[in-house]
Amino acid sequence: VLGLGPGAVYGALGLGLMLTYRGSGVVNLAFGAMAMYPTYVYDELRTSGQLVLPGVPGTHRLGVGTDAVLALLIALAVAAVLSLTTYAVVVRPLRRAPPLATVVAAVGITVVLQAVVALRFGADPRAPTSLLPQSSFSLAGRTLPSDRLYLVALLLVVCGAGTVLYRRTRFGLVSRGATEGETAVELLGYSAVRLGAANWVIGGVIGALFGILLAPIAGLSPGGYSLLVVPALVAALAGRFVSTAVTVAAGLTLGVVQSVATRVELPWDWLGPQTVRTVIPFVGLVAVLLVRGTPVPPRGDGRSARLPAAHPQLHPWRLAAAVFLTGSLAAVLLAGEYRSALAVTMIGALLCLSLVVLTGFTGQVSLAQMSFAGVAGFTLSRVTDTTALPFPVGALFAVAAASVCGLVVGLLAVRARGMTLAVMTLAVALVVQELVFRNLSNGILSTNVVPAPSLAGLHLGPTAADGTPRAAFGVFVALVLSAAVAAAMHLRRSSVGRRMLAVRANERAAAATGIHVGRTKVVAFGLSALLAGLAGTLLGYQQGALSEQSFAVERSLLVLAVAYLGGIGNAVGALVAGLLIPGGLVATLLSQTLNLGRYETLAAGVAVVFVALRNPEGVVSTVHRLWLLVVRR
Amino acid sequence: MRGWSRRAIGRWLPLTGALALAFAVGACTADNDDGQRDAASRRAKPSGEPVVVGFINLEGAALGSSSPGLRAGSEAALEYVNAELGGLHGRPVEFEVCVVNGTLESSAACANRMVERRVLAVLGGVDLGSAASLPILRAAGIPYISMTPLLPADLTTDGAFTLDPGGLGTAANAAFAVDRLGAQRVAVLHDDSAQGKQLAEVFVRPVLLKRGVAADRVRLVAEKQDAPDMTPAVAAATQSGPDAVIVVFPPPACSRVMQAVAALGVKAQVLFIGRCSDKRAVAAGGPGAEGGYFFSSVLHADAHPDDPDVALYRAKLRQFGDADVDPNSYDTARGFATTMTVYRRLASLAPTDLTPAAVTAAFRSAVAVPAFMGHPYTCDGRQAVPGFVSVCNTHVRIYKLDKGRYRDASGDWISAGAALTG
Repeated sequence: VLGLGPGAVYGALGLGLMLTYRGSGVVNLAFGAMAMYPTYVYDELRTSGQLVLPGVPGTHRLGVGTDAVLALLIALAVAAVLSLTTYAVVVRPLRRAPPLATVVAAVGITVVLQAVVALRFGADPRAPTSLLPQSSFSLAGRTLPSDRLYLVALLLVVCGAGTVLYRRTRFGLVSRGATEGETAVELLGYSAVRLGAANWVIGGVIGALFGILLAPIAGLSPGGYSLLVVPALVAALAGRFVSTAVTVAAGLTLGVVQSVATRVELPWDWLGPQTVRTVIPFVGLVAVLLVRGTPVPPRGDGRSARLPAAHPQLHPWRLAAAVFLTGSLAAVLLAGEYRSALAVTMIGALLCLSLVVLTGFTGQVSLAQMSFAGVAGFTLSRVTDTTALPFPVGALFAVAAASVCGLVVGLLAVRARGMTLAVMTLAVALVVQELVFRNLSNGILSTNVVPAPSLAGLHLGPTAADGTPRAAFGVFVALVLSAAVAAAMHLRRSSVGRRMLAVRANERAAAATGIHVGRTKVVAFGLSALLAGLAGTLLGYQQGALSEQSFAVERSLLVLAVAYLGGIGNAVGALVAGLLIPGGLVATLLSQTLNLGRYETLAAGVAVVFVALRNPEGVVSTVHRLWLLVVRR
Repeated sequence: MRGWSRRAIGRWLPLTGALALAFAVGACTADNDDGQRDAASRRAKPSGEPVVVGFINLEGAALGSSSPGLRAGSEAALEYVNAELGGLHGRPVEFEVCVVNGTLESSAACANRMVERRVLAVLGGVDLGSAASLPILRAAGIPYISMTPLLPADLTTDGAFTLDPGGLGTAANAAFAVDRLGAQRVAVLHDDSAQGKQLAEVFVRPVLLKRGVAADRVRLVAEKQDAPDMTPAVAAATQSGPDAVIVVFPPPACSRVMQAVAALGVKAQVLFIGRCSDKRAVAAGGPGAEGGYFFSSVLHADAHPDDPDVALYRAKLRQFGDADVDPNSYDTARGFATTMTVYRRLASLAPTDLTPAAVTAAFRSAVAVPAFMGHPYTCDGRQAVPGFVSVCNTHVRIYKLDKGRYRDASGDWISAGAALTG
């Protein structure tokens, strides 16, 4: 019974996801985040009577007190407006875009909403007061809360109403028809755009309603709500984005199974019941994918598959030499905070380079890059601190561990593509966070220390004896980055790279020419994880210690967003993205000169959505074209 | 001259859009800051070169655990010091505030900034990246005074001092549960992280066993703070009918525990950490909060209205704090109290001794020095808990939420250190 609360919400969010897909052909990865904002609006109205709207400065006292029903209605209205705006501004223009663009746009929306919530409501998780009656009932001698049963009842009502709406009304039938082919529906005189908008609003309001009802049970936090999309997607996938009943049943089953898992005690300390609970949706997702290769039904209208260009822009060695010289010179010339920001920038560039290989060259999306980095970082901490493996053996061992992890994920993800792959890697990131990072996180008595590297008496550590950042570490990072840049650009020109590009362009055509698509994808994941692992290792050396926060799932989302912003098609884009990474040179400059530090995440999110909509090749191509225009004039 | 095509303009839009947004937001921020500075300078009486003290705190990060209350309380105390106490030896005191986001890299960046600004000392609010920042501060010889020690670096770094027991307070909860509440069967509900496990296994369980509670009558239940439902964990913890449940969760997870306690009709006494006593946490907890026990390293403003320190705190917070700040907030009280205690220690130094080394020496020589609203502190390295060289005070009081008001349930300070080692 206790698992029915979250289960009902998984089912309801799965239902909402299904409706938004029906309306637009886009699997909305930002669905959890879009349910989060109205929930915050509701909670703020209930606690302080103030209405907080995105983009509207200040708070507004409505003079209606903290009435629950009014707060709910206002929050649902906010949800409707948010859904409509998102549909009109972001989703509609992206209806025919490649899945990568919609994934990135969804990540951008998630980042924006999380940042807006942190800025306007504060980042602290909340425990809102319940809207449902807080009574109990007895069952088999146990006292149980009755709000779970109310939630399920409400879900069944919504499910029934949805079934009637989509089977018995003209609107519903036409909406379902639009899923098969928008052109045919438009020929009958209906506006596919209006239908899409209406379905988005219905889906968004259902998501918000259950988000608000879940908040007292699950707690309200920006990160937690955004990740609700994972179990919701498992439910929607089980129903193949078509069946309402199966989606609801799958959501409820997931909730109950998770609740039962909380009570199962396993003999292994590292596999606690809480970890099992997180792993369950992932296992469900993999199972669905293995049974059905493409569980999301294709939309009737074809998509134009325009991907960011992946042309080699410069000679590998020249670019690598330029990176090394610029990085080293900057490391020597800069001081203090800027010198450590330079190291963060170069490590960030390395992370974005790992996405260039995977996404830019091979067309595969990954929301788990920080997990690969974290696997390397934590491995480095273990092998250097406990077994005292010297540098660089420990570092190589750590990078190899990340690479193996990448190969395994690649193997699991062979049959997934586009949005499904994005969610699958998101689930991987959650599992790694639970299985690895949480188990190895810093306790009251233990810290994951990473000793400073030194080679043949040469001290390469990041901090001098007086506490200031050392230039030598910057030079060391610049050397690693330049080597990685050269390797990535050589890869692009090699036969492996050409196979990757062929897979990216068209998997079937690639397979027809004799390319082993699966193997190419697995190799891409392995190489990408290797680069991410290298970044994780350097991050460990830079910080001297590791914490799970550095490798949290939210950071992976941000890295993908920033990599796309910089330009995901080539190595120069990764270098530009490195400059834009949180804590990097641009962020430090803005924070120091304009006191803009608080807004860096929000600005990154807005810019990413903008880039996804208007210029998939990122800032680097804008700068390049601007340069050409100036030169020609 | 060629005109700009729509396509070209479209390609430039991302850059210009991002820059426009950056400048628009930047302009707003700069205006606000100037306004605050003007207000401060109007009140300022001290003159000369300001004494700069660093302030590192977690705020605005999308992962929770942030404590803006610590900064709100500290800034109110700082304004009071500058406006009415003449600053520090006639010089104004300024905070160099650096906000961290919970990652080690942001904490290291803040430490670098503190070294660059040559601050006299650093006050630490919540800093989950102290493992990266404290080695840098230590190397630069800058003392770090933590308000909420959470991690090993906060508790065990030479040159770091904490006037608050942090997680050690849970040991006092355990001692109180057995000694005063007579509990013989105890459940401990803790976060499913290395930190949560160690708090339960190192600070709570040994104290219970030392006081004669049988090992099989101590049940540890782990749950994630962001679990989709807290009720199964509370049900598991109360399955065997314990006399007391010790909850080692911060808000809002503890509020959700309170809700589950009410929903499941739990009869046991429930003991929480100090931060769970905040107005918002208790309001969210609903009826399950009533009758709960909460430890506090400072005198609770609600329970001791006649204490001179508490009266001063309430008056000055009202005068210098933000309008919506809650005097009963544990974080606000700790922020104010720690800043006042540190100020008094700094004021005891000669004007020529305002150097990081002298401040470190002053704290190292502190033996039973009175603390503002708190128990006297000792930082001479012979503290109550061996190994935890940074912990200068392990004393807490325990308050009971009784019909919406806090009542002093312990009646005196309880030493968590003595409970652990005695």
